Amino acid sequence: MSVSPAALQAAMAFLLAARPEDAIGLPAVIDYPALAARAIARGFDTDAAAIEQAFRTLMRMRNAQHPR
Amino acid sequence: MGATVVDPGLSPVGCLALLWPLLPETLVDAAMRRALEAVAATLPPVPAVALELRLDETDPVIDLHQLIRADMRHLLPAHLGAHPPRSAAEARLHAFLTGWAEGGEADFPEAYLEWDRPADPDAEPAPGLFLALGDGAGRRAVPVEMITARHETTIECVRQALPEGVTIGFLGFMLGRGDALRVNLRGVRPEELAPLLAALGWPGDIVAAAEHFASWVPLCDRVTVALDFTPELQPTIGVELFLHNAPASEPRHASLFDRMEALDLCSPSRRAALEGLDAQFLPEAEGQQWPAAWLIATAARPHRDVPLMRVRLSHLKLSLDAQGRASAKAYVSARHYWSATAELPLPAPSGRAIAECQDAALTFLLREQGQDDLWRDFAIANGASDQWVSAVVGLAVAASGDARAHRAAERARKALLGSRQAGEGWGYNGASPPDADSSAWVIRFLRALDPADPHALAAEPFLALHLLPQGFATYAPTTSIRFADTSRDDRGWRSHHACVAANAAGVANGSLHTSLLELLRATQLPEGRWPAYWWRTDILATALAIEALSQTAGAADPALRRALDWMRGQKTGTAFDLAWQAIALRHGDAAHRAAGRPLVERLATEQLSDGSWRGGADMLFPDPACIERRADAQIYPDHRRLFTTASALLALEAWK
Repeated sequence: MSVSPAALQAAMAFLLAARPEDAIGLPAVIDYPALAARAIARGFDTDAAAIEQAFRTLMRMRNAQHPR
Repeated sequence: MGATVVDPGLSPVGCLALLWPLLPETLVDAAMRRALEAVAATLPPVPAVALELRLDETDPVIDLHQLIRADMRHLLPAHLGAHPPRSAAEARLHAFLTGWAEGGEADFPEAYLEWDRPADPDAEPAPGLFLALGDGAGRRAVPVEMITARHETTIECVRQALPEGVTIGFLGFMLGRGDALRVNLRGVRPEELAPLLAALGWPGDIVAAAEHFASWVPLCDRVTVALDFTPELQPTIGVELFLHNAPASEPRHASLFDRMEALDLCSPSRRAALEGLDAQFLPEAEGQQWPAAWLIATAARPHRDVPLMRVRLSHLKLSLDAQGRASAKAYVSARHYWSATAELPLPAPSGRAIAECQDAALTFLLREQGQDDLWRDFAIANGASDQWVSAVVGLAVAASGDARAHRAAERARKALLGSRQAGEGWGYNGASPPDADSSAWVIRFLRALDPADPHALAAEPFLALHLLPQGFATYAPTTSIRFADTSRDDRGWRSHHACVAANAAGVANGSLHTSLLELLRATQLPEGRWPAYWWRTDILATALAIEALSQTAGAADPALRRALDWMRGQKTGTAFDLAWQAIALRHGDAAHRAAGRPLVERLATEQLSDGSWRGGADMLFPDPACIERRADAQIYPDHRRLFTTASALLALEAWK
């Protein structure tokens, strides 16, 4: 499945804006609709499903080269 | 993605978020999920939790446990500083955890924290603390922050009553129940429980408890006994049931639940929800929501840290009251790991001298002997191997000459003789048909204890059944092999296997011995090796062939010399291959032996601190129709490290 550049940018922005201590304090699961709303408000042309897919793609790219 | 190592920990709430979709609402309803999440949100940021559930549906309340391994304890101080204790019991716990995190406490490899009844909002927080004492824990390994004089007296009384080989695996402090102390015993054999309970003054029906206990041992890899003291020994005792392998490679999971159901200890719906529970999640996988907090942490870690999450049925627990009545619970674990290897961090290499290595290896193997006196390793669809593995480990143990090892080997011998299949031979395990390779190993083991063992002699005709017109097979033409698909082609498993022929040649006598040696000479490859069927490499097959040939041939024999020269030229990677290479070169001339000595020294440097070696016995499990070994064959290593450690011990003993 292809991933939209806007969704990837929104996902990256979310990760880059986070601080280490957020790793404890954030909700247990990502609220993709809320994240999409924030991204759209900042000008990204995206939606919740695309951002969810973008997160999976980022993780897949990151982990692809490493043994489990 | 950042490359700076920042480790603030991970919220254990994420474990529950990924666990919930795997459990039916009838098992954990919405209100209970919210209650458990609320408790988890107050815990230290260590993402390893377990749920404790009743198996019989009489009690809907679920308790929450958290596992904190020693390598995660650096996460405790910041959390404890931000969460002051809410009760006297928590204050004691915090004092211990602070000391442990600072390294001031004895070396406890892991601690379990347990919160009873999170659904009760009025209850004063009173967690339980369960401390693993570790294999090397000395008699004085007690948590000074938790222990009272009464506890010390109790622990000393228990220690004095323990039979040889039985250890205290855990100490539990149930802070909501006054001074209550739980002592969890590991390694109790069925015949030892009744005298132990009598010695400790247990007030219940000892015969009934011992019978109950004995009935579970064959169904499990480990059965521990939990005794509660207040300070008197309480009438209810716990029996914890563990299986090492996942349900897909352990048929005894089904047997365990069959028995649970037959005794009305487990409802069918709970069995359906729990029996096969075994899942692994990756953040990129579809169909699940990886916690946001965990994604942040992943982005902040080096790329080599691959996150994954595992959910599995950890173990079952029986509670037996004084009248012999039982109830049962299940423990479902949900843990985040930074890589698959993080689950069982291998102890560091030890740097021992060779003589000390032998003792440490022996200690490791004796500790891993099951309560039914067998050793188990490997994991295939048929489960773990017990008969074959016990023969190999028993051989190494018996050859050591150590008195405690001799007792352990004698017990294994008795267990193996009791498990001989239909008067024929022995197999991979009791669920597998008897085969020539397992039987040859058992014969080796029996003769290590008694060179004139009549059972070994009696098993030789079974080996002879595997001789083919031009080969020697693992499974005889007359042996029945049952498959789910009854039309399965099994010609591969019944064809010639050089690795099995080499093994049998080392134990056979008379005409079979002559035939096998001729076969080995005829099937040796030009470069000097024999190709294995059941192994990734040819080192073991060639080592066994060298051993067999050297029984009658001198080092100048051309076939033997070619094999030894090939063996000397091998650059082996695993401790398993290294061990068999060293064993083989011992049979050569001065030049071969000169090449073998450094291998033994290297083996000594690669021993891990717990006495084992990294598992390197890469067994193959070919399709039954497959005649030749395939390069893409699935590898099944000895994940419990027993087969490699036994091989290494045999090598050290050969070069002693």
